[in-house]
Amino acid sequence: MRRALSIAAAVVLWCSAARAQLPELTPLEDDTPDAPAEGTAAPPVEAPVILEEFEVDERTVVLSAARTRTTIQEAPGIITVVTAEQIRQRGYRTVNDVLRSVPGFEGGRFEGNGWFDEATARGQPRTLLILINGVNVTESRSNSLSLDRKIPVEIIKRIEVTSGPGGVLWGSNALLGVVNIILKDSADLDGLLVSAGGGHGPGAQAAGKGHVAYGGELLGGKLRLFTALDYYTDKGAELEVDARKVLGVLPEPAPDGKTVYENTPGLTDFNSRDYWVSHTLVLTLFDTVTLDWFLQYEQDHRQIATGGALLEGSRRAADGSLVPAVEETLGNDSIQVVGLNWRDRFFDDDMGLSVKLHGTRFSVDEQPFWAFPPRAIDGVSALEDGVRIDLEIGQLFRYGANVDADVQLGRDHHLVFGGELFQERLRDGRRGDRLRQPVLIPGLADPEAEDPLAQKGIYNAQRCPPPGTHEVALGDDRVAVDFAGGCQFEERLLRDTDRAVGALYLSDEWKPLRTVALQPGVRLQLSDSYDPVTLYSAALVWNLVDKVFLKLNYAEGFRPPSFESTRINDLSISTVSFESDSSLQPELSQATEAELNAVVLEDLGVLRRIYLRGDYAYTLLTDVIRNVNGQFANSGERGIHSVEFFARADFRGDHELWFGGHFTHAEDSVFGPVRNFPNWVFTGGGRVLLFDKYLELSTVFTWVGPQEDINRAADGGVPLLGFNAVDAVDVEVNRIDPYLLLNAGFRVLRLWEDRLEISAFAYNLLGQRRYDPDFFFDDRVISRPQPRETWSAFGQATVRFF
Amino acid sequence: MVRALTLLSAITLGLVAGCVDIYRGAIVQFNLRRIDRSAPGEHYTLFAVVNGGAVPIAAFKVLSAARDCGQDPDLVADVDLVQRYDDGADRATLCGTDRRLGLVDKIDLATATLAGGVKVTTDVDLRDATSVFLSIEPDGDRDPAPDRVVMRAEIGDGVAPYRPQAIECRRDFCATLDPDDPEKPNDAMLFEQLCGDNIPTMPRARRGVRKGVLLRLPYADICAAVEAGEIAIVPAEDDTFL
Repeated sequence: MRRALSIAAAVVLWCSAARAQLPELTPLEDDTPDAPAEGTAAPPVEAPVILEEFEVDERTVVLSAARTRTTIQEAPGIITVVTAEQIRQRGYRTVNDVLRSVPGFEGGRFEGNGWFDEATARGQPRTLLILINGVNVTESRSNSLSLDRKIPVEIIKRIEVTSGPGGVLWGSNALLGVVNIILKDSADLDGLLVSAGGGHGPGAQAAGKGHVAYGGELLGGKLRLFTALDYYTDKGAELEVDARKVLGVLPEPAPDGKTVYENTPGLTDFNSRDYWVSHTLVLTLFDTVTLDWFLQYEQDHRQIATGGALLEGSRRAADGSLVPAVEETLGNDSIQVVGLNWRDRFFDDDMGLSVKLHGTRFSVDEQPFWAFPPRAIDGVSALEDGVRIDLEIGQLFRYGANVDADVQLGRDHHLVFGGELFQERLRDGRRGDRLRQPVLIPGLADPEAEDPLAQKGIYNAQRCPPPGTHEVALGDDRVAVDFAGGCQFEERLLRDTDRAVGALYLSDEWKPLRTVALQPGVRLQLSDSYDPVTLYSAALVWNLVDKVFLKLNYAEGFRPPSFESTRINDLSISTVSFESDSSLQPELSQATEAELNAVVLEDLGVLRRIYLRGDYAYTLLTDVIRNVNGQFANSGERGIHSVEFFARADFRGDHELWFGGHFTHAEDSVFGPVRNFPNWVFTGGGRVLLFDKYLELSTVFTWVGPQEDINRAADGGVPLLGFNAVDAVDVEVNRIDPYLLLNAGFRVLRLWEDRLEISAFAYNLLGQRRYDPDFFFDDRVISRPQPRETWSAFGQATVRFF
Repeated sequence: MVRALTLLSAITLGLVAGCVDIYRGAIVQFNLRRIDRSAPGEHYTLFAVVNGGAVPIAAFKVLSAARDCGQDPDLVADVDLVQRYDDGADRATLCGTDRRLGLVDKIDLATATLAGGVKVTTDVDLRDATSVFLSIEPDGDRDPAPDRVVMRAEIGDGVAPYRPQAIECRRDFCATLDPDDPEKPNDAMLFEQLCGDNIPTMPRARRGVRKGVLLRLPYADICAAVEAGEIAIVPAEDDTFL
């Protein structure tokens, strides 16, 4: 019923278009004025209506805004574009930094105390489709991708960010946003570029970075190449936990038991060195075939476990004394993305065709993956070795093909259509753990034994099973588990799986009038793992006057169930276990959006122009997948009101000021108001060029409004062995106060015949101690507010060799 | 003008039609320290008193993991399970992990058992709840009125209202004891057990949470009431607009 009414609203919008008397928009290619007829005066040259800085890459047939070239003013959606130059000017270090300053998004939210560092859209986690050169790199295990140092900003040509669902054009995971990261190519670099830098501060200790890139043409221009090698390293951030967690509940036998705290704060030590390495290649042949790849590897350490325990404990030495035991979780993860694309245009450029083959491989290796550090406590043997679980997902693939086409039909219709076919494959998802609770191994029962447990075949942490593969009884089920010595075992974490997906989409940009564009669209998505999904979209873009545009947009999106929620091994003897549901259906989004944007006050004194944008959207999420008491299920719906605004003023001399922000409010049918994100976020900055543009000063700020975090009060409960055994009733709803992140820096430009650039930036200059709330706003006891990094500084030099 | 109104109406219709119903339920956490296992044919129902009326929040049975749910005590800790109850559910269904609301409190360091805590969610708006009570109901009982009330808690904003009384009662009682009098040996023992550092402390008031202490019924004198557990209510409210 709701969908029908929304579509009806869109139809009504189509019928309400009005005529206007404005000059026809000039096509991109045809920017030369018509020659005047002989004997007549030349007609006045039309000022170009498409501004260069908003211009989309004209050599690419398909782009995220509308899967075809357009401008952000005219694109049927709420679009923000951040260019490579803006990334350098503002000192952005990661894609999260970029998204932190895009209205409607929060860049850099911790899940699991830094295990993931993700971005949210409209306050909701894991609702973004992340693309690299049009290839989906959102990992299907968790429907997410950390946007930290994984993708070096030096290789990014531009990032096109769409706020709102983008399911019709982009399919899976475009539930509330699309982040299309477009890599540089040979057009962006002609020669060799070398960059090196270093920095320090409690926010990023002992940091270093290197970037080497080459771009150029070979074989007389038939082959164009861009390649880059990137390396970043640091020793992590100094993070403070407000109370040390000694032991917390696990999902079994019940998720709401006692948590034990030691009520003293703790600070992470100087961590082991982390590093991120990547290689990028974009190779273009004959202007029609492009081979690109992004190969990335990272190793990072964390001294706070995902549940919030500071991994500092103690061990008993041989002489009985206590010695400190400091542990770290170690992650060795990687992504490899490869694409082979052929594209061309036909029939006097009236038709374009693009065929892309792609493959992505994700690898996760978290060994060791600590939950609690070793602690030597008299009378409690369970914590002597701590709680350590090792996770490994060796093979998580996505590979397939996309075919995209666009056809100009007559003057008024521009069809964009295509399809995709891809396979997702998961293999070898394994977990290593240590026996902590008794298990029954019927095959090892010895009726002759004296020990009653041995008679039954029961083994526990004090009586370990012999090494080998044994069948463990779990109720009526039997599961094979590999036991090593010392109660260590390995079992399936995720069941092997294959998921095939295919889709067809069609969108028509119809211009019934010169100033009005209507764009309906439809997508059919099919899979062997979930029911067919049909998505619709409808947009009206109305050029009201000159450079003022009104957009009305209805968009739908969906997010397939993650492999975590559908393929977790339920038959597990680990104490960290959830129940999956293979029949889960995709979550759906429907958004009704309105935007007014304008370019005003052009060429007014020192002012070159002002760009303004205001948006309102109401988004409905349905069939939301939740984890309720350890069980994943489609449950309930969520309504989100969001208002976004953005303003940018460009001044003569290339100075700029910009300001934006958003207000978001969400109501959930199961939890009520969703409180774990800020209602208000403001962001802005400015840039001035001094001394004949040799010196550039830049600043970026983000003010994040208050949020709420539901967790356990560490100072509650009852005394237990010198600690606090905190009860379920010691629940509290912390207010996470607003904070202001201020970054500032400078660049010295055009040195050494325009080859050398030196820059230095300080981040979180005010040294704000801030926290992230629980990612999913459930009251799992795994969380206290998650500490975030404070200030750091970084400087670098970049040299170009032409 | 007509066109503008049509446009506005269409947008408004779309917005209104898509809005999620306002939810004002609550998360209810409680600890049960002293509660009897459910007898056959009986279950517990938790009620909240809101605006003078009693509203059922949750129904459950307290079952022994070993004796009632057939779990091997050599494999699982000897704990009491709090399982969601529905009319007509058989024992095997009742014992399922999908019905697990929590466990009765139990601390056993020897077996590293740290059990306890129950959570239920409810659609009932409990922002104005003044008290909760637990009653024993016959299975299949259709009478909405509580049958046999066994526990009760007054609810306050972040502070269990009974606690100040309990502290006062205890202090009054301790004032009557003379632990140094050799002719009153019981006074010394009682003082050691109930007074000094063993006087209950006020729970720290917690923002966003309403709290109560569950007392066993009946009690003639509030000072002699037995504490059977605690309850905390987290209403669905967002206090961070600014």
